[in-house]
Amino acid sequence: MEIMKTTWMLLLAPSLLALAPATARPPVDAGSLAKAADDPAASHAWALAELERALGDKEWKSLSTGGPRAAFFRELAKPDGLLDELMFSGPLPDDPAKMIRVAESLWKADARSMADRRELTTAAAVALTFGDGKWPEDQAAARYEYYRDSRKAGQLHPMFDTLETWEKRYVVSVSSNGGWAGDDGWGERSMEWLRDHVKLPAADYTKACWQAPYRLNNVFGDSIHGKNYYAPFKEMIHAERVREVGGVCGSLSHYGATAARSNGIPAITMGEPGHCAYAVRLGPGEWTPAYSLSWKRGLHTSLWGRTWTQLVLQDKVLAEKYASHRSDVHLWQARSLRDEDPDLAASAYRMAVEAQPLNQQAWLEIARWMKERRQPSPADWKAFHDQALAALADYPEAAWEVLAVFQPSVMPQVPADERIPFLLAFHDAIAARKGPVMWDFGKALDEQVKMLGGDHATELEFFEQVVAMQVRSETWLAPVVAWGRERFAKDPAGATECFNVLARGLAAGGGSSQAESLGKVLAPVILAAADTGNVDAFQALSKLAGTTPAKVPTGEPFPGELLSAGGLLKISTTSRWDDPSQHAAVLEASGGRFHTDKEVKPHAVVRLAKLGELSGIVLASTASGYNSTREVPLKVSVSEDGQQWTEVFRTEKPGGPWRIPLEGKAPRVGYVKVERDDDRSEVFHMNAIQVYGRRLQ
Amino acid sequence: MIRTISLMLLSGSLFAAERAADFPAALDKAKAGGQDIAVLYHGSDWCAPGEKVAAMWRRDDFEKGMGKDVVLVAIDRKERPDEAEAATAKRNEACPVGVRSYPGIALFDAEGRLVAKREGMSEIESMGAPGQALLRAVEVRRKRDALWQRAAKESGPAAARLLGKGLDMMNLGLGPKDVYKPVLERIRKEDPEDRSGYVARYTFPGMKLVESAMKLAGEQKFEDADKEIAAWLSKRSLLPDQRQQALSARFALYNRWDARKGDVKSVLRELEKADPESELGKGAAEYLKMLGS
Repeated sequence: MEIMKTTWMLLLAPSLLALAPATARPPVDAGSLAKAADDPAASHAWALAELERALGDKEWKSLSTGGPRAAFFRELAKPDGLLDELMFSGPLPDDPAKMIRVAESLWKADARSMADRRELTTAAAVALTFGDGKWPEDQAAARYEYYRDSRKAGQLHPMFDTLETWEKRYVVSVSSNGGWAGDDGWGERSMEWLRDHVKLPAADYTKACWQAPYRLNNVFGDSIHGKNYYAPFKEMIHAERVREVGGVCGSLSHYGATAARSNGIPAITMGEPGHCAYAVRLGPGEWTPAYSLSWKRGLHTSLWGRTWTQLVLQDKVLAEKYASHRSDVHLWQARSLRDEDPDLAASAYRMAVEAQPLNQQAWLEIARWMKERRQPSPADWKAFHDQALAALADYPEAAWEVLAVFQPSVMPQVPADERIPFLLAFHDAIAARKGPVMWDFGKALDEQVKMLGGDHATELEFFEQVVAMQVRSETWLAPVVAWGRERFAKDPAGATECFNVLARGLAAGGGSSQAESLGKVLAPVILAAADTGNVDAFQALSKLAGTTPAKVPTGEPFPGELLSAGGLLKISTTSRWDDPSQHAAVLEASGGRFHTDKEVKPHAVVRLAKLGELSGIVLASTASGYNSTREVPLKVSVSEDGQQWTEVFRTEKPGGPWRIPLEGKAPRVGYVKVERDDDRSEVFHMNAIQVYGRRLQ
Repeated sequence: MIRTISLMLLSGSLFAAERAADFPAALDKAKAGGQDIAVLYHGSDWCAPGEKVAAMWRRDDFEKGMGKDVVLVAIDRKERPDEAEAATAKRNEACPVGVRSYPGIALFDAEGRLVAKREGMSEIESMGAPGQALLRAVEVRRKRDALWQRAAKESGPAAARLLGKGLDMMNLGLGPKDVYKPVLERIRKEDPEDRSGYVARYTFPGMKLVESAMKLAGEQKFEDADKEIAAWLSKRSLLPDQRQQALSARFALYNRWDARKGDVKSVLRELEKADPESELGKGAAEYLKMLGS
């Protein structure tokens, strides 16, 4: 593999020193490192050695030196059993000793059932979950028994029987915001109720949250934000009272996720800005967001960290069982050798990322170890940087997290004229890749620019070069420009400077010419932001360009908030008459404009800033005469997810404004589509799409 | 065998129920023949509890037991349908009602309006055998129609009362998607002054009354809100749970109204008394404890 032939690998060259075996650790030398990962017996021995290391001397001795735990230890040490399930199923919890105690008590209570691998993997997943510091050890048995008994009774979704231990960690960890919840909350009583009252095909759990009504106040008028919302209904099982009494995003998302988990399907809850959502795993790698309104997600349960990228990446890595296991064994070798033979440890680390180049956790561990213990030269860091980037470029956020470990400490050693190219290498590597999801690109740019030492001119130069590099990217250009606007265009002078830099960057990258207006320069960037659903970038870029109010008469607003304000407008085509910088204003009270090209069934799709129950929609246009006939027959549809649409309005009458009352007819809407519904090939334009209602988040 | 015969006798039918391939076909048959439609919702490739019911549903004796006045249709919500099954599933989207938990059973009348529904195994089992539950629903529908036929021969509040009693029998409100709203319109027409009380019962706003009370309280229009609630509470035809909701709206209002804050406990006591065993009744009792009573 090419990854082996570079400078940092030389730095990590193996020692020929053979080590004597110590406790559980198998003998190791340069020759045996690679063989161990391919030999089941040696892999198993390394798993035991890693457990010893993780437990520490005292706990290890308590477990392994006979006495009352001897029988369990003999069982644990058997190949293809509990040890392998615990050790090859993602990172260990933060209290491995507790994990082992939980596993031991489950085995002592139910060794017979655990002879069946389906129960064994459940027990391992429970031990891994309850091994986390805040999870109560004495409640683990109840969780195990719930899944064991429900499975045996045929009450779980058949998917459960196909899951490996690491996948079951996303099932058995039913919780409140990632922490254990007792029977007053999302505990076993709720799980049983949800198992028996919310049994659905896997895909339907993404909508299960809506079985509970969204209510800010309960029937007594008490707010969800106070202590009395659920208190009067304390005799009810929590899941049941959420369905009967109601809740807001947090309760509803927990209801949906817990319903899935209680039926044996992996799911998680997650935080979003001002919101709580959830995701259901419909199959391998198929994590499906539910009630999600933003890509800015912080997962409440995860094996690898809190980002969506990490969730997707760990799913891919752990599913590649052979590569993942080999990578694990090499990581354990490296950890056991770090103190006594760093060179040999480096070799093992190298093998870990060769075995599974997508193992971000391994890259992170190596980077931290090198930074703290090896202190390589800038050239060696650069080589490591290039290899990590090459391995993880399809997951830009994951790649950046690795680079961010060491770049800030390395940068002062890099010659001044090489710093920007060093930072740009990241952009070069990812420009042609979409990544699994949008992420906080602006934060990464902040971290990068901080490394340049605070010189304003250098920062602007960096911005210009990033723009030039990302101009070919459909995904990253918009957040780059939005970041530049936030950072540099804080006042009129800064805005002018920012625009000039932006224009030069776009021109250098093969985009528009410098002579064009700001609106024209930004047009393709705004359209790209709309195409990729990046609401933040769409709004920021529109603000950068500035808007001219359309002054279109719309009449009285409908009740509630203007849910479209701050959202995103995507049109079916643009045209030479279109000005994308005015698109965002179409959704505001001021009005703006959009103008498609000639086409059959042209349309505009609004992604609302807030999911809502609609009270009405106002459409308005300044067109008159013949031009107004281009807008009819006008059809308006609404959708919760932007996929399945329901028609709510149709008219042949041109001119507008069209006022569409929707009270009681559109209970959950995230998207509104406005289209001309005929077979003419003709342009389509409008000035206002104002959507009103009650927010559901 | 004895069970089969007894089922047939129970149903009063000598002929077996027809089966339809999908909901639209069942509706066509039902419209033509005036039958009811019995629906089983199940998922044959993922829902094990549902397969116990589905196995029973497929049996000949079930078909015979249900009798010729019922059309049977099984809506199989498979996770991995083949092409033909996917096409059937698409046609079954015409069924106006889904379930919150599988398996489920439901009865629709010949016009495709829901009469009764049970969702999830625990609800189904609580009703006894599914066939018995469906036959009871058929009986409810027959009694409902008998009331509505009598209503057609009456006029004024008497007709409204019969129409309302027919709605009461199903305990579905105005049904999913307000499918029984035309019945309410007929009640209104026959009884514009609502002497029967059924207009009030079937237009009671529920939680919206609480929301309205809070909104008016926020605008300091306490008296307006109190009048609105009092107007509802003056209607004797409200069901106990509706009366409780109106009282909970009053509680929410008084809690925000300094002049009446002293009355909140008496409102809660009245609410509890209306139906102490209901969830709202228990909630009121708990609230009283929280308030130190």
